[in-house]
Amino acid sequence: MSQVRPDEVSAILRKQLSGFDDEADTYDVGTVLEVGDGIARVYGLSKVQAGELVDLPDSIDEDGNSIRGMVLNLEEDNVGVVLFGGTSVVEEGDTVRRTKSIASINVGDGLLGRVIDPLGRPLDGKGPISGDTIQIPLERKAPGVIYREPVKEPLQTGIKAIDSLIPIGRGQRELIIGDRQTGKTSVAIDTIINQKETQDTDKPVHCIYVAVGQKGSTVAGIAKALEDNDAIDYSTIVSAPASVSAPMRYIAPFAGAAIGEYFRDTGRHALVVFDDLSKQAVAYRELSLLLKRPPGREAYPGDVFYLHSRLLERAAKIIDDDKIAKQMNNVPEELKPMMKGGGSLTALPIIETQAGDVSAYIPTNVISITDGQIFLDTDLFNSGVRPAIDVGTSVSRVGGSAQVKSMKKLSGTMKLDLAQYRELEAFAKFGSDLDPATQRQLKRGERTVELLKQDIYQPRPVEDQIALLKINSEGLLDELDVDQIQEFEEEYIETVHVKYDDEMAELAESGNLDEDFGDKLMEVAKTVIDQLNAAQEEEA
Amino acid sequence: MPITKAARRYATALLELGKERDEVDELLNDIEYIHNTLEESRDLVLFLRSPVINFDDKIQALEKIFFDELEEPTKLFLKLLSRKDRINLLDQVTEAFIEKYKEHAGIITVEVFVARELSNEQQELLHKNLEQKTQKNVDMNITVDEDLKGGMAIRIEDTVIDGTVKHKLKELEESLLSTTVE
Repeated sequence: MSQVRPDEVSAILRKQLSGFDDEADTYDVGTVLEVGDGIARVYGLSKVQAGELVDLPDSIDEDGNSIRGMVLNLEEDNVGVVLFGGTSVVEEGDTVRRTKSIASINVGDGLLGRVIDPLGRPLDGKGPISGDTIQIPLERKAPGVIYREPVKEPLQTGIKAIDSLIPIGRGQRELIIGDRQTGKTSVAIDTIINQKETQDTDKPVHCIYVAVGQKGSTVAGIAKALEDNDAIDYSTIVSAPASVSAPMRYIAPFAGAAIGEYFRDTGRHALVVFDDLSKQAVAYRELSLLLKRPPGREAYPGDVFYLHSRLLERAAKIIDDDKIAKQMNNVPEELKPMMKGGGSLTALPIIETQAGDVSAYIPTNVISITDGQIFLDTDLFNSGVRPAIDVGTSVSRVGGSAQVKSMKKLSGTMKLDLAQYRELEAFAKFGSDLDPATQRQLKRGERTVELLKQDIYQPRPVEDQIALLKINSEGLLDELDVDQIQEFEEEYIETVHVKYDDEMAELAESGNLDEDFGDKLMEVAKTVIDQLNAAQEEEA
Repeated sequence: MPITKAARRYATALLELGKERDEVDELLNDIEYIHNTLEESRDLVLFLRSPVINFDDKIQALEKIFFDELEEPTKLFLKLLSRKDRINLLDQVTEAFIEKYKEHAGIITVEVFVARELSNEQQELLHKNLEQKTQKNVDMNITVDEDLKGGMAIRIEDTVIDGTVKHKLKELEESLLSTTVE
């Protein structure tokens, strides 16, 4: 760090002191009546608002900062305050002071590449957030209907199974649901990594990953994965690991949404991953029970549905009209001059199920709120189908209209192939005497499933996916053994890029595969298939 | 210690009764007398609160301590409290009553925090100004705290008007610490 010159120091001090006013300060106070389990009951604070931040200047934590809290309950003779950490230093009789500001976070472009806590404080040791920031409240009403637009641009995840069968559009809310250890986080991280290719375009997607109640080591692992894949520069990680207090875990997704909204409302595109909302619901249940709010089903409070619906409603595609977008509801003053249309916020909430039970309370709630779900299955995962996406139960309700043309066409045939395969699969196990048509369908299905397998951190660009699906839909893969498919994929994509790089770039641009280039691709595929088969024969 | 709802209700009832019979001032005298005694004697409060001691014993003790000095309605009120097994709330009831009375009479208590003792003229001037500002009868409660270093803080209900040197220094510290060197 460079040295600060003494005269600079005195100049800064002089500036600070000249702006220091001598007026008496007016503030509202209350006193802590009781404290425990992260909740303080406060007497006084008669004018406090629900959701307001309060400061406890008497209670200093080990870092020398005063404890802060958020007002959640306003009762007849006391106020229920949730404390952001350090309950042990708060004592009965401590002063509680109003801050007159609703819980909020400072956002700006400086957040990209950083790991922060839900109150916007950096956790990565890279110093304060650089650049201009503006304050955005954590709780903000979602944009009204007239400021929205149907989803129309694709958000490429780079995962073949998702981009073809369960396409996601910018502004969509797509749930990722499954048991523990089925690769939910990997799907989300792959999607973030795949946004790298959008960074050079005029519509880059900025990513926010919100870790709620995760292991600290997991969060560190994710930060490392993003760094290794050059994805951290356009991403922000909001970390509320299992070690932080329940209020922090409760507000973390709102902080992520607030950051996403900053990009959305300034006419840019953002993707926010909430990993995971079941843990947030648990944190909220903890708070609600401690605040003595009545428990409902599975002991969750009555407003747990609203908790998730108001959060996910904030994901939206904003109308491509600056004039209308500028009039949007509930925009913070500071953000108003920067408002622009055409932005989007895509949300990928994650829900963890217990033993595949999607009919539990929180999963059903979130399934009904979102625009579709990606269902990950333990059995598929264990049988080696990774990503373990159950294409039968996964849907995307709005993404289809955002899919690129050729992909839409090709995925149609694939969906049919897979559906027929699933139907026949169970009963093909019994006998070998099947008619040729059935055998052909089984063959095609097996190969399609194999083709959709993909390693983690290996996203495929959309043009590669189209080129692959084209070959499969023409039935060329039927000539290969199932275990040759992966090898074929590598070889084929490589050859295509060497031979037809310009055409592939054009395909990526237009998303339209013309007949001429399609024939050329098939030529390449045939050559590769012949080579592979010849090599196999030689080995035999 | 917060005042429970039950204590507030008994206090309200007693005040209403006093207003009806035009005996508020007598009641206030009695209640203040009890309140002050209870403030001084922690033992008595604990005695009244103890769930082990029978309420007959409690009222007998109270009779011996207070009844020579009290008016008839107050005596009856104490007996009622003990019969309803609420005598444990007596300290809260007296506090609530005084609070209610002040509300009724338009008196507000203003806490004043100063670093050094105020002279009589200063006190009078402050009192006059406070009454003018709040448009109420002001009851001043002055606390001297040398830690404040100078200046004065005033607390009216939940609002604090802080002009102490201690607070200013704190603010100055915060503003200097928050300065980022570009």
